Amino acid sequence: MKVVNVLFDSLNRLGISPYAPGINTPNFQRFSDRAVTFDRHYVGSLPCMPARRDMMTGWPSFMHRSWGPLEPFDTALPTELRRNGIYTHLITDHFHYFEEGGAGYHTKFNTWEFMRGQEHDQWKAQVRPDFDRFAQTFADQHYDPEAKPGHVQHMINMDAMTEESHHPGPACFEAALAFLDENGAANDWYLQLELFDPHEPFTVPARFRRPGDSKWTGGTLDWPAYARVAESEDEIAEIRANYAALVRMCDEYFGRLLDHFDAHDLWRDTALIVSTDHGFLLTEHEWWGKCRMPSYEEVSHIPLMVWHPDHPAAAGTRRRATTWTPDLMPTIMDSFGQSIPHDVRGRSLLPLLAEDRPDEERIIAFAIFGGPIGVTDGSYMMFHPPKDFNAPGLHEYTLAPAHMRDPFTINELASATLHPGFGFTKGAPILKIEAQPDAKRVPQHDGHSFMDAEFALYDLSADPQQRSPIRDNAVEERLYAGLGDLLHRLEAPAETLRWYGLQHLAPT
Amino acid sequence: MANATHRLIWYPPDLDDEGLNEYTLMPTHLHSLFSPEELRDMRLHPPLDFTKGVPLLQIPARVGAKRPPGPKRDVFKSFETMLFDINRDRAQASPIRDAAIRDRLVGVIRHELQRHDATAEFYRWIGIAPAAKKEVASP
Repeated sequence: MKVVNVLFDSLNRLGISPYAPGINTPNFQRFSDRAVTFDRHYVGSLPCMPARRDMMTGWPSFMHRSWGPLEPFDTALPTELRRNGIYTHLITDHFHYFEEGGAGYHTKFNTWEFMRGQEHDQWKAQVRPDFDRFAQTFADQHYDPEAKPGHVQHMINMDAMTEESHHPGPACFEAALAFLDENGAANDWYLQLELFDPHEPFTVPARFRRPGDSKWTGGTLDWPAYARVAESEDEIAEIRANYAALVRMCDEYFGRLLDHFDAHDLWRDTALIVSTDHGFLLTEHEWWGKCRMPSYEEVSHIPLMVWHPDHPAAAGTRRRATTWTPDLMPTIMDSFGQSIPHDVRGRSLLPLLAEDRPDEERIIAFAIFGGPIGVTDGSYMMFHPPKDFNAPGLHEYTLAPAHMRDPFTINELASATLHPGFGFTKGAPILKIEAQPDAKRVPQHDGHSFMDAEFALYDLSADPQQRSPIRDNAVEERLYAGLGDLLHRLEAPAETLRWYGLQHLAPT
Repeated sequence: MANATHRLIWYPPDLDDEGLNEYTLMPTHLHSLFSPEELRDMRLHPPLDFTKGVPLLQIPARVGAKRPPGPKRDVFKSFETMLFDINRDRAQASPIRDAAIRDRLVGVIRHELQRHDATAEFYRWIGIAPAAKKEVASP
């Protein structure tokens, strides 16, 4: 068995043809025609790195930990596969793996390749950048060095990308084709191909733009801040045109991977999975971005397509069963015929390839640590916020105390006590550290706070754009009961349930 | 020491003594994280004088853990504490015995251990008695 797992970043479900007609993506469509397309696939822990931890472990971490390294007790997909003689290779341009808070993920693979230069990857060095020259290319709104010092590194990195092949996304695909050329005939390997695209900044060669897609004539405008929409119509059109162009680039290069599958008939013995970590708001709900606002459908309801050589008859079919990110790990384990580790909370999707379960009630939840909890059964979505985001009583549980870019501060660490541990810590105690309001976790690491976080219930069938929240006691009770069961299975700490005002949720 | 003439290489009396602990807040070895088995018996230790008020994980340093000397443990164990006169024996080929010099150099080690807030069990493990409290000031 062989498995290729293609993971995009911020690939909106409604941004690709199998789910919506807006942007023409013939290769995603071509794959959907051959694969099984999941219509109710959702995220778990958010954003990027917590989602990757869910994918690695099959165990959602959002009740215990914000963005951080893989933990010593985590069951990790590549480790499990390697233990059973399956070769694992990672190709990625996701530079967050190489910050302090992203440690311990890529090192689990037999081999890995890292393509440099996405976003503010600390890559090329210019001690004295020529800001006058940058100002001729990049729009002030997104690249003013004084207002956005974090964006300077991207302009510097762009100096090294004079040709399309220098861009990290195309370089990742090229590396994947080289891996397949070298290893396609061998058996028992797992390739995780990660593309940071189409994450912002929406950096994309001009050939992927379409005539008339924007009237903007100013500098590069491709990096919207996570903020309420305040741009002019022309600015909005330009930013969205750049996102669409970047999705087209993802589609074209993904098509080259499909070409390789065709040319070598890898379909015969190789599974191919395509998904993303989360979506991105492009002015829907009057917001750009993610994390600060509730994780509406645009962010939480993501694409998933699966080809598995044992299920050729399922080609082109769709599934209504509710699935989520933690299902990927057990699905890949199952594809290799491996038993699913007992601490996995997702489940293998392979049975769903054989037969859909459209009427099964399955309730999943998703959240940023300390943010509003989203709950859905695929038909309704409910957001449950804590009473007070800044109230004491929330704790990080970790044995690797680092945030995205920095270790925990002395103040945070001084609050540490040793907790006896959970089932998932495999007998190890664990540090219990105050989740302080000014800690460098998402979203306050960017100086932001959670916004618009009120209780809300949406009927996704009647109102897929989530314009009009409803109240429905029966649905709310059902979703809370499902949330209670799930949080119990995740061993959510009692004080965290209290912090969320969910202490009454006992397992049913 | 400008006029140093002797070199003491000090080995713990029993390299396999599991009374040694790792102190860390990021339990990671060279290639990998600590295993859950290693972490099972850890405790939270009060701050040491270089941790800026932060407590530390105190983790028993098991013989089988993935730290040096690893598989070369038997090689390590083939050595023992040695004293050399490096003026006469630059190649360190012939250890000497001299209790007075040895005690003086052990005093230097003891002082360094004090300066680094070595823990009580580390003194036991390394086989050097800690100084009486008042002695900390200068060598």
